[in-house]
Amino acid sequence: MVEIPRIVTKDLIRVYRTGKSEVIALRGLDLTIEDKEVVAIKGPSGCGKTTLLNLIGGLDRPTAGSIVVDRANIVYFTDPELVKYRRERVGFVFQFFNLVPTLTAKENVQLPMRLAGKTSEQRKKRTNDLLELVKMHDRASHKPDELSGGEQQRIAIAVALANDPPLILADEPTGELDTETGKQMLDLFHSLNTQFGKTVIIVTHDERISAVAHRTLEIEDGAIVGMTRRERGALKAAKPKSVA
Amino acid sequence: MSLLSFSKYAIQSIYRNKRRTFAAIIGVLLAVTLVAGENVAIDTTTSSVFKQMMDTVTYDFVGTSSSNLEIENATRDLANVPNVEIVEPIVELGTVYITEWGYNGTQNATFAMLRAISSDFGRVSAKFGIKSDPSVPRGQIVVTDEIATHAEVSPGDQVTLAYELIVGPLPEYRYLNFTVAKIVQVEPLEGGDIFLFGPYLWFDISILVNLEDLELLISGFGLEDLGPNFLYSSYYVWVDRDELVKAGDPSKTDELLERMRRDLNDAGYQYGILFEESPISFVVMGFGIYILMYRALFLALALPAIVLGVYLGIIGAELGLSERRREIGILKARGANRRQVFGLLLIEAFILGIIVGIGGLILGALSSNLFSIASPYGVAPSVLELTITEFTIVLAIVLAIALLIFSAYRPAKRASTITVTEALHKYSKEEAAVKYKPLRDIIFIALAIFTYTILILLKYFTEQGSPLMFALCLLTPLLMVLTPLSPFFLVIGVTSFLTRFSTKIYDWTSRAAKPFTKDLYEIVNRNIVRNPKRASNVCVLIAMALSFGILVSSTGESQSAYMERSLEAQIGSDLKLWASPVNRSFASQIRDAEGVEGVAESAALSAIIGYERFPVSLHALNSSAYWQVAHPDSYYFKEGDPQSAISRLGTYGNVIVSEKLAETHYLRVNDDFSAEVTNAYHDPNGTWHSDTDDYRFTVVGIVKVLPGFMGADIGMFSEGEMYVDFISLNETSFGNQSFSYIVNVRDGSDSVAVGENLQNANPDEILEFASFEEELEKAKSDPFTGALFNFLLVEVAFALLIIGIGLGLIMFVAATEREGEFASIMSRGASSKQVARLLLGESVTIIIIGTVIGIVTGLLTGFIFNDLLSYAMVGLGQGVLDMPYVVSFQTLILIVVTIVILIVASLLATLKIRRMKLAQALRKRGG
Repeated sequence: MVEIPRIVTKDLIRVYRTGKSEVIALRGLDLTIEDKEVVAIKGPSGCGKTTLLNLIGGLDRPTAGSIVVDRANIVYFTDPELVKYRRERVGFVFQFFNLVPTLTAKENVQLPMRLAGKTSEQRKKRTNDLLELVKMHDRASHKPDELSGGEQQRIAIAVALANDPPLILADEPTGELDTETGKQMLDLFHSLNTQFGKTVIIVTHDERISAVAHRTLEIEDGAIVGMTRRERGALKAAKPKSVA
Repeated sequence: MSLLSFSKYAIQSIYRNKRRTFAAIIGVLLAVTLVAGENVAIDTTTSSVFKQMMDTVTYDFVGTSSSNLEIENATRDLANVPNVEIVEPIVELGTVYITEWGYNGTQNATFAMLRAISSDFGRVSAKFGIKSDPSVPRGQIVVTDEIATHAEVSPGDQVTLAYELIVGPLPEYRYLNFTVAKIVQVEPLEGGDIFLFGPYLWFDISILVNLEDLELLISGFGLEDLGPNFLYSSYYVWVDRDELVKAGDPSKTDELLERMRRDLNDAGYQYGILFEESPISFVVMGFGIYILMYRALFLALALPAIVLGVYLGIIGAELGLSERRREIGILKARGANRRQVFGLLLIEAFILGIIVGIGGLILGALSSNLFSIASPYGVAPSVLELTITEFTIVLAIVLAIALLIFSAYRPAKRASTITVTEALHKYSKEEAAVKYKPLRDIIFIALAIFTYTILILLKYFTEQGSPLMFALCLLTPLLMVLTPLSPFFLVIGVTSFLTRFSTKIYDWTSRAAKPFTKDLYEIVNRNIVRNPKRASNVCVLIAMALSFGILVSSTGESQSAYMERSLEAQIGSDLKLWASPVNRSFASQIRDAEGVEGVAESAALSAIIGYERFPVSLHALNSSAYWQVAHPDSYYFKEGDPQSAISRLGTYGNVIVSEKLAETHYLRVNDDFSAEVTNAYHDPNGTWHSDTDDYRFTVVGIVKVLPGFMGADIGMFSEGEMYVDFISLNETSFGNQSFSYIVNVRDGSDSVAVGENLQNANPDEILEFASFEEELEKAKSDPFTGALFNFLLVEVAFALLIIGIGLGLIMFVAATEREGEFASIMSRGASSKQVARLLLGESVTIIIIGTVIGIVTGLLTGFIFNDLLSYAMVGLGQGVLDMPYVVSFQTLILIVVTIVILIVASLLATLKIRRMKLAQALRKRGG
């Protein structure tokens, strides 16, 4: 049986217009990401890494080109379809955590489930499981400003997993963390892939990512200029299962 | 570094962030627009009315001299005085008779005033009521139509003028012959329409001669014999009014006119001419006082809008400073001290004040037509010429500066004290959780409760005649200050306390917003609590505007209802007729007239009751006809059911008494008492009659008044009223009296037309009539009350605008500030609709709190205000009718409109969320 790639982008172009000037963030980028693959994207600032992540995650629309995710070209998605896509298919992890400051850790985790209309019981059970997974059970009632950067990022990962999306997109997830905490985060991403079969795309400058990612893509001026592949055998040994 | 050196930075800051500037000024701008607009309307309408009044001022100055023969030189010198436009001399030569040669004062002759006028007099003659050209050819005379008719002279006739000289004990007569050149028509000036000071001119009885014939006349009549002061001349002066007369500025006008008078006296001194004060000064002074009074009154009435504007200004200032924390942090990090930051922010407020003052003035001028409906002069806007006085300009700018500095003061003080490290963080806990000190609100609530309690106690003690009333009266000066401020104290204190002392209220209310937010309502609550001061301020804003609107609306409706009730009590039905003494069968004549449905006749008599012989007004009526026509409702009855009381009144010996009579004579229903009814009248021959009959009556009802009889009492010292059916009285008790008739007209008939037709058909019998509809229309169209009420309505509209903008602004800023947060929620699967609903949920929570508090405080304040107003209007407990407190459909509409405006404002603010670019928003650093 032929394995269908999870994500395929073709001739992806994104141009930003600021006043009279134009910035070409992506210049016809072609990319294929397999199911259950961990891909790292590296490159200098302003090369288009975050833009690519935003386009794949449905946060932005390309100027031209296609993005096929699970056989559907999300470029043609209507706004409500994109909302549904973000809610069910994608989990985001940001550099600055982006947690709602007025909600507790537990409530932040519950938020995507509330948006998806999950019942109170469903929310409660899954929140407990996720907080257990990220080892934040004892900090569940704290608000983001009462948590350390690493703790906030753990909560942010739990938030990303709330609706059990198959695709995790992380934008510089270790950028705000110290070395040790950063390493723990990368291990967490690794386990998401190995234990739960998530496809993970991580934009990062962190060199340690090569130990986790199957492939590392180098982007410069909006195009892929290099790729490093790691042996994938170890990953195949893992039996995918749901987080819950 | 001086504070002024920050001005450039302040101006740049104002210019750089237009939205922030808008947020800071919009509240005060609207308040200043209201004040400036009303003042421009007052300027414009008063200027128009002033011009109309000035047109009736015949002349600007008059100077008199009694010995001057150099008329031409004097006129020339006076005309050369700056700002003088016209000088016209009139020489008063004394009295003459048109008669025959040899007249000695005993024959019939026509008396006239002999006056010498210049050849140019025609340019001002109309001002003295002369309708045609009065120019006199030399050697001839011109006579007025009045004189010509009396003396029977025509143009071309030769007449002899006899001059009466009193030089000795007996008058002496000298004669000259003249030809009548022409006859001029003169309309005597009406004293009420002009402002003539000094010599009053009866031009209608004048004989005019040419001033160039003066020497001829003097020598011809031998006037030198009268002595040195024989010639009395007046110099009428018209000046450039545009230069010297400033409508609405009496002191300036007075100064300019007095300077003018001084110059005229200087120029006329050598001719012995003395000028009096200008009549314009009197007009301007009286007018100025009125204008000042109106300005003060309308400024006081604008207080709610000013307070709302300031509140919105404070919100705007706080929003602006919250956005600028980072900038302030950087300034401080670069060496600015606390005082410099504070000064910079106040300089910004000062500059904004100037901008807002000018802006408010322009907007006020542009919208002054809107305010003209609220002008006490009620002049149609189409005839107005826009006028803006210096007073209005200064008022707008000073008010704007004062309000903006007041709004910015506390936020600026707080912003200047923030620490650098705290300020450099985007999200700051310190900023969000501004510590609440409830003392101010507790004082406000206590002051409001204290004021209302004292007012209620004052009313109660006065009604009871308790001596404690005098003790409370000592607090009058304090009450005069506190009473108008109490509604503000109550609304601000209660709203602020409830929304800041505990966050529970948001918790409860956010559940009410669940239809908007669904499962996300908890987030709504958390977000409001995140910055409770901001939410509280908007709640105060909404509550204050709504409370004010309800107060205005309910007071207006209550006044209107009171007006109707008073007229009903006076007229009784559609029409009331007053007739001369007529036969009782005249009622059937009225009943048969076209458009008449029913008639009830009555006669006003006087009676004496009790051993103390108290005078009482007695109204005799036909009870069954009265019930059908007036159909009084139970409101008027203190004891007894209306229908049965009126029905029992139709039985011999029964009486209904007024509450006042019942109280003074301790009467209750079914009590008996004696009365002596006197019927006093002149018979047709002019003979005086006075017949007295004794009666014994039983009380069958006690009323405030029976509709149709209020104000129809006999005599000023009446101790109350009693109502008796004619059946209970002897014919001798009411025969030859005047009757009045309460009439109801058929459906579709015009009561005024019915009244006019009846009066035209019976001119000898019907003296006058009053129509309920016409009287109501008259009462409602009182220009002053109308102006006040219209102004308040315009102000309510402004208040709604202020709260709409206030809420919209705060939601917009919330959307902007929390863009990153919303973007992160959306990245996790929320649709823009869901996020918009979140924001809308916050709005709805604030709207519910503000609206509920506003309605409760508005109704409470309205009720207390109405009660006190009713009490003041009826006069210390002696009134007959009380003012109903009406909260009708109009108030409901106001509440609905307010809520709709607020929701629309919130929806507009949420549009930002729909337009938000997720990827860009996420680049900003969030939580």
